[in-house]
Amino acid sequence: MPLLELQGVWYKYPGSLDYALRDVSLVVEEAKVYVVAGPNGAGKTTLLLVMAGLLEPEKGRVLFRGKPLKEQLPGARRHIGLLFQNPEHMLFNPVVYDEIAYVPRQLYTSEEYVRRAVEEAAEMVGLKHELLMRPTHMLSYGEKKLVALASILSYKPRLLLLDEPYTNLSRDYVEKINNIIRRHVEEGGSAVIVCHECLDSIRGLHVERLYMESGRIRPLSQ
Amino acid sequence: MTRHIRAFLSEVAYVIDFLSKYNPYSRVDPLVLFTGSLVFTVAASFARSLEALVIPLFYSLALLAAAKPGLSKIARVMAPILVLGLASSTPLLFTSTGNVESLASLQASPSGEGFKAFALLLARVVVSPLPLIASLMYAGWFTVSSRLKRLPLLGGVVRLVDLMAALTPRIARYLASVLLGRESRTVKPSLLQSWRGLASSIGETILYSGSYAEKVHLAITARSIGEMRVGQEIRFTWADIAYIATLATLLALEAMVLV
Repeated sequence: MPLLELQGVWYKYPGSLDYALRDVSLVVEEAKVYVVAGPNGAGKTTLLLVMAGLLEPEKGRVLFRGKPLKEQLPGARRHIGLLFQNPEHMLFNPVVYDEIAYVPRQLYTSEEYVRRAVEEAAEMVGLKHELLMRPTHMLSYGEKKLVALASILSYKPRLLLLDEPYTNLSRDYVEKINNIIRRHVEEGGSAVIVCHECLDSIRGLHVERLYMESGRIRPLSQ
Repeated sequence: MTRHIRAFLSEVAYVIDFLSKYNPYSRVDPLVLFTGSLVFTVAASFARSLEALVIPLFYSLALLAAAKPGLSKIARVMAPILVLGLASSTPLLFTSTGNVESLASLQASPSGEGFKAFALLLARVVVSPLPLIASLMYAGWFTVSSRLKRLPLLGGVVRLVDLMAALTPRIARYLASVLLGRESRTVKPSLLQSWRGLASSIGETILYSGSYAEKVHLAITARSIGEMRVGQEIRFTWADIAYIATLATLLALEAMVLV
């Protein structure tokens, strides 16, 4: 059974005349990496928001483990991690520790488990320990991106949705993110969907390549 | 003018950031510290003599000595409070009785009674918030709020204040950067141009705040599974007991002065 399935999904933003997603169908299997390339405004971010259950399609269905995702919310969010394109939009807690602990504090009843989850996630993305008590606004852009990523890795989701994870990052950070993706898929068996404008950054990863334009999705070979 | 507004916005962001820091090394329980400081703030704001302000001032200075924030930071936080105090108390200086009942109470030259009333009001305005500010300089708002938001009735309000403390500096800095972007492309600066720039930048910032709030809300929803389940952590050390004993002694002295 696929982890997530989109069946003929159409989505239009309120007040907009054009559809952002047009008849999108996609099957996401576990332990696979999918890269969705395409120009700005193609509908990549909307696709991820629909997959995370944050936008409800106008037509079509989103199934998570064979059942409608909508009926499994908010519980299913424990298995879906969404990294926003701009990390500023994700960081709303006072310090890095609280940001990463946001989901673990909903899952565990002991602060000790929370602390372990935070430290594990911070180590996974290579965040230095002394950064944990730093206010989030005092971080560099790359560090913010890593904190946002750690905040979704802290609960080990089965499906990782990464929106433009490489934008404005140096080569070091790009490599770091690719290593995290590789480790998450190979060791955790998760599915990862990466939306990015071009395919340069994902060198070295074995991926399914998809292309999106004007709200429609197709395999890149076409 | 734009430059001054940018400086003001940066100052607001700086002060909020500084007061809302997180201090995991606070030896006294932040909730006990904050509550104790609140008592002194209330006592100072009702003081009817300068003597009654001595103990809250001593308490605040002791906290500041422990926090060691540096004189320039204390000055930057206290400057707007001092300006507010001077603005509200200066008219009292020009009265014969120390009371302003109407414009007719004001006279051309200062008087002895007027000076006493002026000094008392200025000292009250400056000293009364000092215990709370000193406790925030020592522990930081986010340290205090991490304990306050676990209280059943206050939790929601404290989370709102937390969000404001985290997001207001970002929005202030965004407005400052929009103003800077506009200034860098202003070829012929004029007062009219500055006002127009400020008005449109504020409009742009309001729109940005709306779309920013929408995205932060989506990001919070994407990671919201249910209620926070981590139980309340009770930490009570010898430092707390020593602090409470000192607090009780100072409060007893303050009560004697007030009576």
